[in-house]
Amino acid sequence: MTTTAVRPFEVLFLTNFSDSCFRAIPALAQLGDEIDLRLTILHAHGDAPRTRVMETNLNSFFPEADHYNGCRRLLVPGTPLEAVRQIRADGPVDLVVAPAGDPLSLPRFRSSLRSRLVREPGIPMWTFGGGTPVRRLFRTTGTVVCCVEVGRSGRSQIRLASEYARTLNATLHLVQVLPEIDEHSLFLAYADRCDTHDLVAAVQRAGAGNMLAPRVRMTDRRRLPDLLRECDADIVFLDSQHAVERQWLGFRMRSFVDLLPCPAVCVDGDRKDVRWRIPTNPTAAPASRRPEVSDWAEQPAEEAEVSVMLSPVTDAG
Amino acid sequence: MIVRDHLPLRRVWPRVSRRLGLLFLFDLTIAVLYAKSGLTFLSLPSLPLGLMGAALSIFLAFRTNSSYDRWWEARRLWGSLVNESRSFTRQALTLVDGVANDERNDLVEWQIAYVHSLRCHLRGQNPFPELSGRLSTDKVAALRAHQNVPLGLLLQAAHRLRRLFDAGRVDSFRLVHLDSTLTRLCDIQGACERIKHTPLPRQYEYFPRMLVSTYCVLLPFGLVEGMGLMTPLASTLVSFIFLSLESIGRDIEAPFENTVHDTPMSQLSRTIEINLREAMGDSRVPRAVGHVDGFVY
Repeated sequence: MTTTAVRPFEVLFLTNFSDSCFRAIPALAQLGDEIDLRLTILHAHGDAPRTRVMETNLNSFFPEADHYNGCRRLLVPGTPLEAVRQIRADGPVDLVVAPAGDPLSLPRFRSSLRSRLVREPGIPMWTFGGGTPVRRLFRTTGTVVCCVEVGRSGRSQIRLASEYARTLNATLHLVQVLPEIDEHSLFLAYADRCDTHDLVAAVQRAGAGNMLAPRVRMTDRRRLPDLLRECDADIVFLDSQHAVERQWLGFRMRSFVDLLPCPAVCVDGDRKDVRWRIPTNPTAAPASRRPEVSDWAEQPAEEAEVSVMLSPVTDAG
Repeated sequence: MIVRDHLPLRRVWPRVSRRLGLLFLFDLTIAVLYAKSGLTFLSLPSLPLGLMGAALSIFLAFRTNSSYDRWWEARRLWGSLVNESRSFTRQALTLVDGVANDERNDLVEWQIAYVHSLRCHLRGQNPFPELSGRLSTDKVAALRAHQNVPLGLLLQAAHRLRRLFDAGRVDSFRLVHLDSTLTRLCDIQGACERIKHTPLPRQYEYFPRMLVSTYCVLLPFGLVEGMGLMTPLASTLVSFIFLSLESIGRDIEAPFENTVHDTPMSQLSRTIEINLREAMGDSRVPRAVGHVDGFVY
């Protein structure tokens, strides 16, 4: 019987050498120890001609990555989005790392890069904003949270979150997120539509049933950061449609994404062809099973407990 | 570490815009109320504010000096690390007898790995993806048993020296010298950890911040009688000076926090590696780390 070797997990790190990009380095170092990844550090220099200064900047950014397995550095002309498309055309890209830009405290007059990357079909995007404490980026991954917005059919983020939790032997929390509501009656209607059995079945199909925390939680967007703190989440998987909003000057990441207390992976929930096979790092220390994780496979789905956390309902008008 | 001559506005503006913007609006409100609405009771005598400003300046200067001392001590320690690394390499390459270079080169490789692991240790960063590319699998596996990985590397180097002594390749006199270099490396590491894990007393953080904010709020009341509608400009400018002084102290007091104000450990550890590999005669000399957009990490 022949076995197919799993290729390394391809991570594309977009950098403009901002403070946020430097703050992301420890998280990538931690990820590089947990899984077998191949890192590509990419800087798009736009229409300006390539210079020695750009090459020095790129080579001096995250210098220790030169000793990571198969790391490569690319200086590409054009916009970051064009560069990502070009790299993707040449080979697989499993994850794009795009931290939030440094805050300008000024209005922006076009769509943000992250919102454009998120809308690019099929590329999960890892990001974090100012709400993520720096110390969170140094931690090993012990808790993975997957958010599913009520009323949306796309569930690809469940598959990826399950694979991620299963590979890292982490606890997986499922959170159902209610969109903004301001009438109590709407909550009652949505509560009827929430089907935790489907979500649990999706996790079990992805093979991470025994990673699943016993409670499926429900919240609205405003309370999501608080819920993630309560879960002690190390990473959260979101549907990209949930994470991006259209404003009058273009598309933006929703403000709650940058307020999350942990990094977020934005996945196009409608894409069924986005799949991860994450190889573990063969030299990594073996992760121990989290003692508080119950073996979900032994519990029938009807016993799934749903806990609800909602913001106070505001009066309309 | 910042090496460029001036900071671009896009780096400074986000840090000061909100506080200065709020202060400016507040100052403008006071000035308009005084000048146009006739609320003359808003004016305060300037003498107390002058005294407060003088005392605050002394307090901030002391705090800034203390922060700078920590930053400079961190830089000195890493300078000593460069020197001791070179010394240990020279000793390893010249004081170990025998024809084969493998043991000598191993000691130098351990030292290179030690420097990089110390950088990761101080930043709180996982060192193993990098060490896996530098050391063999069994050595990396052995290091995973240590929470303090640099200390584990020093211990491995000491074990190696002991084996060389038992094999007769190093006599006792040379062993003492080699081991004393390891001891000095350990001292440097301990001093860095002291700076990392012992912040300035929190009183030096809390009281300056509170007093600066209070002073900035009271300042327009003291200036409005003399400056009228020009009060917002003058008050905001003076507030900016005090806020900057307070911010400088906060920025540089922790030199191992993976920020632009850090000791440039990435550059220094790469410099050490270059020097040590050249001393070994190794052809795999990495390129030097330069500044990135005027910042050295």
